[in-house]
Amino acid sequence: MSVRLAQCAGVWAVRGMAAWTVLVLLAASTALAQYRPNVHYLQSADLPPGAIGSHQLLRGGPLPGYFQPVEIQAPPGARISLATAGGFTEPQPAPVVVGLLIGHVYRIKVTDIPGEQNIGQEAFPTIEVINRLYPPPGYEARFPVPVQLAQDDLETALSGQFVTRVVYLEDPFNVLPVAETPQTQRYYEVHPQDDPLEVADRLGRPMAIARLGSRQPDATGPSSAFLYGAPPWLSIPKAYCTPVDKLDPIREGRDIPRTP
Amino acid sequence: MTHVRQNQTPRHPRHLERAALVALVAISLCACQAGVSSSVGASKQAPQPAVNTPPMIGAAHPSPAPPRAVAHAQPQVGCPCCSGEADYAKFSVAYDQKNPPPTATQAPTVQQVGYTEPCGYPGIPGHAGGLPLNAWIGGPHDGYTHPTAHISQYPYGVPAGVSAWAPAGVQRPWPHDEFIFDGGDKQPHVEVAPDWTVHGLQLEDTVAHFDTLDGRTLVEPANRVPLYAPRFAAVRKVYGIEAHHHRTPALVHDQPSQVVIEQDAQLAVDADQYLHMRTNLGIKSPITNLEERGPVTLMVQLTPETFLENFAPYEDLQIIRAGIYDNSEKARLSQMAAAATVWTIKQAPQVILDETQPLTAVVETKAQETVKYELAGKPRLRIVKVANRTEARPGDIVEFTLRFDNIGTQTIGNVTIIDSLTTRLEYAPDTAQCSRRANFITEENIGDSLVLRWEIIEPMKPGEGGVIRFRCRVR
Repeated sequence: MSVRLAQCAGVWAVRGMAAWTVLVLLAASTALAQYRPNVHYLQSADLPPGAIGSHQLLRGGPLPGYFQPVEIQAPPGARISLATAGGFTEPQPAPVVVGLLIGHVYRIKVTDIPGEQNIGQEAFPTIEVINRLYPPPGYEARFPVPVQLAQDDLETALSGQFVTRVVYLEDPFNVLPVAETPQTQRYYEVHPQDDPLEVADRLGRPMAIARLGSRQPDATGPSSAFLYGAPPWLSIPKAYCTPVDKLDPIREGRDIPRTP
Repeated sequence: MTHVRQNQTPRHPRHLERAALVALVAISLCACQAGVSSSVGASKQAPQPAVNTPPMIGAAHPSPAPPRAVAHAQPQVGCPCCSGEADYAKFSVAYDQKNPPPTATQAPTVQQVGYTEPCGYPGIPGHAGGLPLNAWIGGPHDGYTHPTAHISQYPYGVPAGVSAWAPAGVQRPWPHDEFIFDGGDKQPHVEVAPDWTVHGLQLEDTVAHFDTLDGRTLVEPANRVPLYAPRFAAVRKVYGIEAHHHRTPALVHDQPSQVVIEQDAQLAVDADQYLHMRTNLGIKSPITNLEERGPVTLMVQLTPETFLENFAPYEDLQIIRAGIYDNSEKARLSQMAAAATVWTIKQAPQVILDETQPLTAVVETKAQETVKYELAGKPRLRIVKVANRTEARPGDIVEFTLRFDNIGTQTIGNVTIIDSLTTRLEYAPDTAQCSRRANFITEENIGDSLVLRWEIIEPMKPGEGGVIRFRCRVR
């Protein structure tokens, strides 16, 4: 009898341990799910425009409704127009700083591309913002995400190829020790079998995707599908992007007290 | 003993009433403390100021503030959605009263097209019919009319409650990949060998080491200064017909060929005849003796040439100018140190305040005689680091200021201040200044940046201090 009781007690002990193990594993999986890295291993840059950004919105956080300032850079002389309802705005000389919603796809038009062979040519790249910055309040426009449409990118797109640029925020602990200016942006060329989004995930935090060389608008004008519905954007005055280097005047008349 | 037992006799009902009253007061006090513990939580962990703390030597250097006050500098993390709404409204009204309404030419060109959906943060109700409070909405009404409107969208300063969003419970600054840091002492901590070789110095570290009268070498880290400076790069991929790999068959095959020519061993045709030696040449000793010497270590010692004795606005702090820690400057100091949270770490309060007790060193002990050497006081060095800005873009110049003070009661010597710059910071040549006589030495570190080293020549008496300035360009 005592042997059977001991066996029953052992069975219940094993069941209790199994239940505790399941509970601990559930709690651990929940905790791990909350602290998973913010990467895009399930997506690739080959997905249709808007797919990655819309998935990003599902992850939560203060992303919906935030107009992330983006600086659209182009070669000197090029002009940029943004899509509005039914058409494009008046061309503005690059660079242009605008606030773009995360997860939406913005069609822009680049004209006056430098180069004799590019006279009369127009490029219609798209920009998709997939993440945002968290700058100090009041300095949002001073730190826009730079999306550079280089001369080589535009000419490659005009020659019939398709260019994808994934702009990412560098990891400060894994950066190249080279001096840069806001007007220059380094880029890495990846092989055709590589995914630029995955490479950007490894190098930092992907912020925006620019695609060049896609379809052209119809002869009757850009359709709503071509403009991806012309989502809202904000025109940020250049005054807000002015550097604040000269804002610290030196006050005179006070000496450092010499120690006795 | 008898008295004690008499006091422990069963209580009178009046005693019971008094005990109940005391218990109620104690419960209410506990509730009050629990209510404020979230805002001053660090004060409980901070060491209590010593009652018998001796006064500082030097009339111009009063004793620093207690660490409990330092903990108050931490910004209140509240609901970013609601906390600053009232202040923001005040700000708007004040602005409208100061300036006339904007004209059509002054209005910002906001191209918002019908986006009126309410949205909020997960778990936080959004503002009805609008964006979150800290969403970028194109600027402050008509900030162009104000002469300082170009600084930011808040020409009169950022309203209270409007702060960058950060997840709850996460220490700011956040996220870390948008900041670069300088200062502090990361793990493993810096240690100095007896020959003053520095071990464990990593990127971003800023420390000072000094020798004490009893022969020890102590290391004191500076506070950590974050700088908002995101930098971007891109990954490009070209899709096209040129990008496809085309597998081409091999056109040339390597075929092993057989040996065609065989070389036979041939007999020697010529034979050299040995000749006898006719003359005997004497052996001469070498005239010149070349001696090889080992490499001589070249150490460039640069002495700061000038020190500008004018204070910049960001240095207008008592702790920088005179080494006096003023409570009223905590907020500005936190801003200059770029994060109030920096002051909540344990190092800073321990540096500023600690029990100053006489140090006893037993040198010689014999059976019948005991000789003790007592060194009064304790060596302490405080080093504070501030920057002239909290944000920078690549190419901008950032000026750092280090204030170091001997806040102990002993003279310290061989004071050496070391700053290992991070990769994103490039030292601007000939910008180092020091208010005390010092040797300035630079050497490269592992991050392709520089380690800045100031060796203060003269010992520092209690109460003495100095200021170091240098500039860096953000890469």
